[in-house]
Amino acid sequence: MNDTVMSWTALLIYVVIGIVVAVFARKRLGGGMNEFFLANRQLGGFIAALTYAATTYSAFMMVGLAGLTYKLGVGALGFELTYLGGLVLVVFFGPRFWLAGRKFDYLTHAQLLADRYDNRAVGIIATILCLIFLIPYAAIQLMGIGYLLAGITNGAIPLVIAMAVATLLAVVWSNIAGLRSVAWTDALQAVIMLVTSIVTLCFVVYKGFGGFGGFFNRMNQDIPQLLAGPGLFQFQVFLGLSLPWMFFSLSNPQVTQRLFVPKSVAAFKQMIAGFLIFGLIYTVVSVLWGFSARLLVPGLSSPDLATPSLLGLPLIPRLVALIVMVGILSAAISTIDSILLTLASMCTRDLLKNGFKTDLSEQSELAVGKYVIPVLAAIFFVFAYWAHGRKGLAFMIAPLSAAASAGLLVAVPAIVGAFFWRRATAAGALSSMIVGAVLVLFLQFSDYKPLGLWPGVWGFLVCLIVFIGVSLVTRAPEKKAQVFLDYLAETLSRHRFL
Amino acid sequence: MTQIGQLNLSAHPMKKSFWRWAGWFLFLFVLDFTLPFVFLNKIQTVLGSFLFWLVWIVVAIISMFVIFLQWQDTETRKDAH
Repeated sequence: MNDTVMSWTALLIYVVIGIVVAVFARKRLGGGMNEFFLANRQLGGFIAALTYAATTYSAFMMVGLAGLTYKLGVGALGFELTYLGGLVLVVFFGPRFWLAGRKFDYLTHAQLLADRYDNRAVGIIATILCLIFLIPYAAIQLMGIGYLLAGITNGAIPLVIAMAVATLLAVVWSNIAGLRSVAWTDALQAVIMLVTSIVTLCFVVYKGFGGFGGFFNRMNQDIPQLLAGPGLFQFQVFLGLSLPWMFFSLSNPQVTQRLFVPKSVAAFKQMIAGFLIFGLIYTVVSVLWGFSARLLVPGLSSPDLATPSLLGLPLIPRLVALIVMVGILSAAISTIDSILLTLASMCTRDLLKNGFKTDLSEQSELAVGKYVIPVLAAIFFVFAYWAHGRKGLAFMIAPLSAAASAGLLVAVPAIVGAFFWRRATAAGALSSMIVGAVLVLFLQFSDYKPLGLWPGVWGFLVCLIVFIGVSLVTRAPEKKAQVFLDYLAETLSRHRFL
Repeated sequence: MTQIGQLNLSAHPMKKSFWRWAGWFLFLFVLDFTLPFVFLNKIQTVLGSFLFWLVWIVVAIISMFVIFLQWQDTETRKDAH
């Protein structure tokens, strides 16, 4: 079987299995917004854990994180594990999201903020922030798919076709049964991601180094500079990367929406436990993958080439390379379709219905939401298509994508305040998000790093100060705060939540 | 009490354990951000920062398990909207 046939066959098998799973998920689909976007808040723990993992971990892991390890060493492990440790925020905040979501019927975190601060502009701004920062992020995932598939298959799957197939799949899997089809295909893809990455790493380690003992010995002998302290990471770089990621589980709407969906406390516990175990294994595998690339293909001009170069080595059979390709494709598409679904729900609920007070019935709202999905996907694709061919747009999309996690971080003080500070105000939330986002964008585009600190660090510090300062001199929504916080205080202890 | 101090935890029965756990995780993150930079610079093998960060995350994960394994489903249905 030649390369082209093998590549297309691997892709076809993946697509067919994914569609079968999505159609199967549709059998349980009911009606309404909660059903379509939140699976009626009835996901079991196992599926919830896998969809959380597949949504969180994108193509960044086996490509970007491996590249970061290749270039800067062990600090990449610390940075990614800092994110995983940051999941303690889900332990503290997750139950609050879950309880409030059920009681007040929240669909998105923007709706929660708008209601808690009793101000619809808060929901509008929170949604616009997500659109600004997540559209380029999703587009860069598509570009990654395009470059990787075209590279691994030696052009058998052309770049634009790969991006188009990925976009189409994300739309189909989102639309077939909303979160039900996304969650089930995510679960399938999470398994593919984990299994393919472990199998391939073992293959590389045993073929390339004779086993893990030989692998670690080679690391100690050949690249000690990448193992000492944080490797080649400067502290400012480590902080600049780690801080936004530490708060990822609170700042990214596609992830916070997952906090509304477990069907019970037991399912919630399984979701967190499953994700922690998955995350630990996937992180270690991705980092070791980067180290193995450094030892086997040193001297690459760009660290982003680490994974494609490793997969191009003669010691890796084509079949194994294609399996990894499907694994990385799974990681990217499972992130894109979750972002699609979440942004569609925010556009309809937080912009159209609540934000601009349109008199939409739930049926119309859902119909609009379903139309928004392909529109957003088309925007992702157009961004990715233009950026891959034009230097001007590539100039725009790269800093915007880098700014994604830093930009979303500026909503964190408003989110924390909503749950813990009775005195927090809508003016504080609005001003902190706007000032923080403008500052992050300015610093990102100007490449200006005062005191060597990255945009996310400055954005977070400034928006925190603005949030507290403005809240102290403006009027809090006392009645709403009382209803919201008193309900949580009463119910948290009943479930033995912290 | 100052206005900034009016946190929602004031009347919460699990206040103490909340702050104890918050303090413990703050301590863990301080270690995460400082130890490899300050004390592990001289260890140029996988037994340095690589091992530290693995042990660190295992401790963090076990701590999280200790917290959420206490959660229970009592009256979940009653609260459902």
